[in-house]
Amino acid sequence: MANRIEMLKHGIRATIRYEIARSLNLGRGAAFLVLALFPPAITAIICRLPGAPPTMIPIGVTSLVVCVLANLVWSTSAVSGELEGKTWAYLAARPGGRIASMIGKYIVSVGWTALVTLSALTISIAVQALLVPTGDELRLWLIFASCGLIACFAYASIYTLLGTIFHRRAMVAAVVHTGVFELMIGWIPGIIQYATVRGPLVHLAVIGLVDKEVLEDPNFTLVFGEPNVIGHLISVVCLTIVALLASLWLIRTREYATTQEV
Amino acid sequence: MIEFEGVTKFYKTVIGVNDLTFRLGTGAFGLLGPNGSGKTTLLNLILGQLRPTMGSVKVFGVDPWRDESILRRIGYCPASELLLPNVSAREWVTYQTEMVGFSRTAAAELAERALRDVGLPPAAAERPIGGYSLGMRQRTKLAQAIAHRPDLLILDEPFNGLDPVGRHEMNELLTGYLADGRSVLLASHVLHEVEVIRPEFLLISGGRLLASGSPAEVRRLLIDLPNEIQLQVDDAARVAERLVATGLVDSLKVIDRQHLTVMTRESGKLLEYFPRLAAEGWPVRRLGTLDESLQDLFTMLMRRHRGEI
Repeated sequence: MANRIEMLKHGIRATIRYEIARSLNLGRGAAFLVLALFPPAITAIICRLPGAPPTMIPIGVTSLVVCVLANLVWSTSAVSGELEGKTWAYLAARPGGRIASMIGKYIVSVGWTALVTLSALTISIAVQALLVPTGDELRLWLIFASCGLIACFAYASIYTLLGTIFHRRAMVAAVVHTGVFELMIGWIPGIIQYATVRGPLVHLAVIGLVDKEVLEDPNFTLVFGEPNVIGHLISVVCLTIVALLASLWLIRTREYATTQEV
Repeated sequence: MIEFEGVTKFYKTVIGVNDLTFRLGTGAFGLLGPNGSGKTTLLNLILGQLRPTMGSVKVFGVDPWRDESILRRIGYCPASELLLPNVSAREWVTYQTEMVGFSRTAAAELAERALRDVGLPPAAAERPIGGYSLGMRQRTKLAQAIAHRPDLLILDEPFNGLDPVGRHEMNELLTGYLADGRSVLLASHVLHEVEVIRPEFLLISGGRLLASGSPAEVRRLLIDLPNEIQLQVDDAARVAERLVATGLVDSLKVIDRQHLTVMTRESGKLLEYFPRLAAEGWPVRRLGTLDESLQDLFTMLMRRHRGEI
């Protein structure tokens, strides 16, 4: 058993190294720049509008969008990318190769998406601080950065699961899921929100952003519910862990022989 | 080493392999069959990538589907093309070797040795695989399979894209591998590629095992089967008339004015008749039999399996 764990650790480390080396290319660099600069550009435009409306919500939303997009591109393809690239057969023929590869890829995609999300957020807040300083930038950054990091782990595991289940149409499945769950169900005030990442994260961000008096206002609780930080956190963490464990179980027990190999 | 007991694999309603039972010990084995015959399904069952619908598979005494650790003793070179645009052979083989459980340093050393063994020049090993020729990609694929010195090497169509020199080097490498007391299972649809390692072989078609054993053992299965003989004569139609008249011929086909093919279960008697035929003014200019090589053996088994003979 210890030997197997050691083997798995080697595999995960090797995958991380390999995936990082492979991802350091012009394409990834260009995608990174586009994603990281899109929220600051929106922030700059808003700051230039007459009357300089508050940029807090656009910064939060665009950073979340960046996190979702980055994960769509980099997390969904854990299995489908290997199958399309015909390298799956090599990984699957290694002891623990499938699991080590998935965990390694998950860690790397979380790393990349966290980097791009935090870069986008940091530059956006710096832009705001330069153009319309409020003096509250650090608090804003801490709240959004915490939510952004949680979102990176959560979306990465959900998209990894979707890519594992629908490996032939991974991206389509991920986009449909995002549309249905994150854009539609995520807005429904009710327990069904906990099936999404966006729902609990928005609650967490709001709890961090508004004053204590507002949180206790009955009108506020009518819309956002009780300010239950632990509950929202547990919900996102559980969703992340369940999705990740389901991916690992699937990848270990599912037969991914391609049509060509049959 | 490998035990299949009544193994059947379905892909929904399509059958991959059908009721396979065989045992393979240490040594060289050729897995032969036309494209789509179930070779890769069989290999995937050995590698634990597929779970048999029925029956049991054991490799080195364990079920490879349940116990992946057995893969450490196996090296696999798939048939699928290797398409990695921005990774060098050295990086990739090192990565694949690390995935077996070796440390980075050990994996790098093993990868370097394997790349040298397959004859990939060091300068080429540093270039991205995407720019390689087909032969270089084959060598890279083989290097990742042998780098960790597995007890069993499984090669699926390993000669694809190799030039004659490459084929010779590959043969040398496999022969050396076998001389070390290790095993090789080589799958191909081209028989002469498999023959070079002088294997016991398995003939598979339509997911079924047609025959197994040494070439001599399989040949014994063919005793009652008609032999096909090709003749070149001066006038094929006239010679055909005479051959039919002997009663030694099961069937006969005139190819053109000078060539004909004869199916017979009495090839010895037919050969004795040819001097008489020559004396009558119809000499056989050239005689060829399709049953002299393993390829013909394979063809005959396939035809018997299809019910053609």
